[in-house]
Amino acid sequence: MDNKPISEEYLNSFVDNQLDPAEKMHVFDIINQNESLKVRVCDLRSLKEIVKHAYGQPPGFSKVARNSPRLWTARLQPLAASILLLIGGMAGWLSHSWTVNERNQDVASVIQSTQRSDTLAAESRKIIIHVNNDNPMKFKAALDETESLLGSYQRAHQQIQLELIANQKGVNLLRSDISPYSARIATMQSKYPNLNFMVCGKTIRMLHNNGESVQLLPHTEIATSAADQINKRLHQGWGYIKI
Amino acid sequence: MKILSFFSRGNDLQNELNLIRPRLYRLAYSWSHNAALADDLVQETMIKALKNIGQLRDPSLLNSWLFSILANCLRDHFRQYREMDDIDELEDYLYAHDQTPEEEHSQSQIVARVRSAVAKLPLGQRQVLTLVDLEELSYIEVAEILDIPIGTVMSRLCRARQALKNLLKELSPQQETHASQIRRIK
Repeated sequence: MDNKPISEEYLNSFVDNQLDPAEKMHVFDIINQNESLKVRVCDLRSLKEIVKHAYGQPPGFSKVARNSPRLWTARLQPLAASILLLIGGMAGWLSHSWTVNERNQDVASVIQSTQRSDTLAAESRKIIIHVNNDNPMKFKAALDETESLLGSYQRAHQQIQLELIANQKGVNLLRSDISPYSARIATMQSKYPNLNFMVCGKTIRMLHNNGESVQLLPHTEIATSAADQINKRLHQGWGYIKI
Repeated sequence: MKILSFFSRGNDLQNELNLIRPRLYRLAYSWSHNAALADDLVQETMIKALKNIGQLRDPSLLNSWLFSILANCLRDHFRQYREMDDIDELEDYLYAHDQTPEEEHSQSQIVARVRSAVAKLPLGQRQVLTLVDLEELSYIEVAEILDIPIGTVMSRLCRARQALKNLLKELSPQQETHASQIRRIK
């Protein structure tokens, strides 16, 4: 284990008990010597607890519908079983699909709740922005466009979700060793939780195959491929902007 | 005997579904923050689960399988209604930002503040955060449920917590500091 500074992701893994015992011991050792790290761990643990507490008793859970009718099915099933045993010859007639479907209808009616959904959750606007070359003007335009969209929706109190995906030479925008905008991107990420930066997995694999060591900016996600991701988003009804 | 065991298995399944139903509802509510929609999503999840129970090879994976169906139901719901904006909800949203005494009171309550902050997170981050924090699932399980790479789970979780921390600071009631000043008067 080296002495590199502990990343936020690694600290989260520690708090969520996702590390193996050796890794945990290593983090414990570092925490014991580092007050600020102690505070960060404490903050993360508090956040976990507070989220759990906030949803301990969610409002409007209907218990009536799941209990009373169930008693009928509970009584009917042994009865049905005994009838079926009496007419043993009929048992073979009960094919698997028939029984499953029949049971589905019973239980589906059991779980019907008295509540009705009269309101629909409004979906936010969703846009994917695509960068595929390393022209500095394009990088700036992509970030300007992204910030302008996020800012205008925020001012109008409307929701927007944005993804910026880079492939081919465009991935340089999100490489920590190359990007001229790493500080600006970090600021944007902390300011807008509804903004995601992604790179094309195929491009990254190609760079690795060519012997390049690719270091991405923090919180950059890797899509299977840019084409797949854009295609998926278009099918989901997202808007598409090519820079 | 097979028929008897078949029926007892049916009962077991119902019992298990009834046991997990409140957890499904809690998760659906934490994703949608709409009680009626959460209830509908849970019902739809139960119906789909019962229809496709044959696909569940390992009964120990029932919970993860149900969470995965719930995530799909929510995705389908948004896909189906993506063109529609509910005017009432829009107004609720706008009114919610007026600083009424009721609003100030509710904002001062920790539960309301946390729910409000979680509701402001993008859905992907919200789902990862609640699956890890409420259901205490491992990152691998969350990745399988949401059908995303584990690196994405880690990244979304990290961003969700950072955003949540900032949002909770923003949403905390601003208390003016009226420090009492003591002066010596000669």
